[in-house]
Amino acid sequence: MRSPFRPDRPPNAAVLDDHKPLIRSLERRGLIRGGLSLGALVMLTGCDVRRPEAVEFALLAISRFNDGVQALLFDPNKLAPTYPASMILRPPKFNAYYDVMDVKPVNGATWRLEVSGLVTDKRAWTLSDLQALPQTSMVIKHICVEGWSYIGGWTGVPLRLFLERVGADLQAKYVAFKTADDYPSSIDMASALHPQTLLALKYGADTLADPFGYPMRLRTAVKLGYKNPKWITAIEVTNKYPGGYWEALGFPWFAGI
Amino acid sequence: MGGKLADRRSLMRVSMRHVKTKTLAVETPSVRTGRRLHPWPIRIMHWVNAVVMLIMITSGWGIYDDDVIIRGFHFGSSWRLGDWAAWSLNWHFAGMWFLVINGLIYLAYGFASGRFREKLLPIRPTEVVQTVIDTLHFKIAHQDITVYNAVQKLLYIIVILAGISQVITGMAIWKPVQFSELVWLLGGFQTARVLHFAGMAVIVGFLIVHVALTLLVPKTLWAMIAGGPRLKPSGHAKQSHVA
Repeated sequence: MRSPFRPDRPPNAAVLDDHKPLIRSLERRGLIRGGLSLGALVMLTGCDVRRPEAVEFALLAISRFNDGVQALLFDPNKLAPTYPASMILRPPKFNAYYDVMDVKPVNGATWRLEVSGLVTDKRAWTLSDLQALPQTSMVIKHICVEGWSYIGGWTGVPLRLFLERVGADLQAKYVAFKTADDYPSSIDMASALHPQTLLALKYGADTLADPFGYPMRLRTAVKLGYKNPKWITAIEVTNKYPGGYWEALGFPWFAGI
Repeated sequence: MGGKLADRRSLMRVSMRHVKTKTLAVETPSVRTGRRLHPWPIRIMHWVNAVVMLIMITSGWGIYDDDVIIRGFHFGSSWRLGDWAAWSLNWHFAGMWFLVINGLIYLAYGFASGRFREKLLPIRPTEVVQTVIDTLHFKIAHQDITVYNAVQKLLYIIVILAGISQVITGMAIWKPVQFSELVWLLGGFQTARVLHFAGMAVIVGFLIVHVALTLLVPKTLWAMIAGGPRLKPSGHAKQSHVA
């Protein structure tokens, strides 16, 4: 079949003859340029062959989609299984982006909890202020994204109660945390309001030990381990996506279980 | 007319081999009617599944390596998809959608079209034993690739069940609180995690045998690409026990 792209009349061959040297030089130049770009490409791919940008973009897009699916799957009334106090692991497992030897203890006497964002009462809280609020205990499983898990017992102020006390906009999207160890984190409002989400002050019957977040850390039964920031220094209620430490490195944000 | 001739030829071939078959293959290309051994939906789903399974297995190895189940047993970095755990996880959670959607369509198609009943049933224990013995004596009958032997049937059923099991155990360890009853049924979070790992081992074991046999009988590979021989238009059940 005749190609629809072929001109009806054949072009004048004389024109081609006239420009032969030019065409040849173009081809020669093209060859050199092509060789150079090929070399450049080889050097470029040296940067990141294993995770090309387009693939990374697609995976992150699906990860954001999965965040939405997880939010839909989340049942605010579904309680995580609880265990008898005898099963509490002592001491709990330590995990952070650095070694336990590098933990910098926080002074509970001078520690303050800042509150900001969509709240009516922005005054800072002391440890004794938090201790004066009604406390809840739970013995729940800690599940790490890596696969390990252990049973821990936590006592503290339900985050829902705290958010109500500071007059937070409970319709806001996110509750974000800043910590003394530079480990920003954030969770969705529905998970923040879950009855098994605590601002934990105690492990078992004892005050939190330094490596586990003294004086106050988040402990939620409905998220993976890395969504439980320790040594919290500030809480913000916001509608602007706050992200988090591991999330910035590629881990999923919602991380609900 | 051509069809009749072909019928007779294939009848003779089958009776001479004394093979009890469910389905007769008509390899004469003049027969234009009738389904192919692997209709196009099967071929598409097979290759989608092949790619997605490899993604799920190798990204799963990347996740596994962060906290191993068997002490001292790691997967080398060249075997893992994702240059560290976060990206292995993202691959896994992206691949899962394709695995589940493709798998559900495959199961629906397999049941609705009668392909599972036709190809995978019945399995008689004596046939399984006989096929294993024959295989050990290097007597593997593969002239007619349209009929699966008892071991093949068993392996295909096992791998389909393993795939379903992977989705169930995967859901359990993905959402152990939302699906806490499922986790309880499976014997707890860590047990579900080990079951998920074991399911992978079953699938990888199948894959090794599957690929090895395909390389031994390359026309089965070509059949999964081009469709393979056409089956008799009248279907399957009628022609049984011709020998």
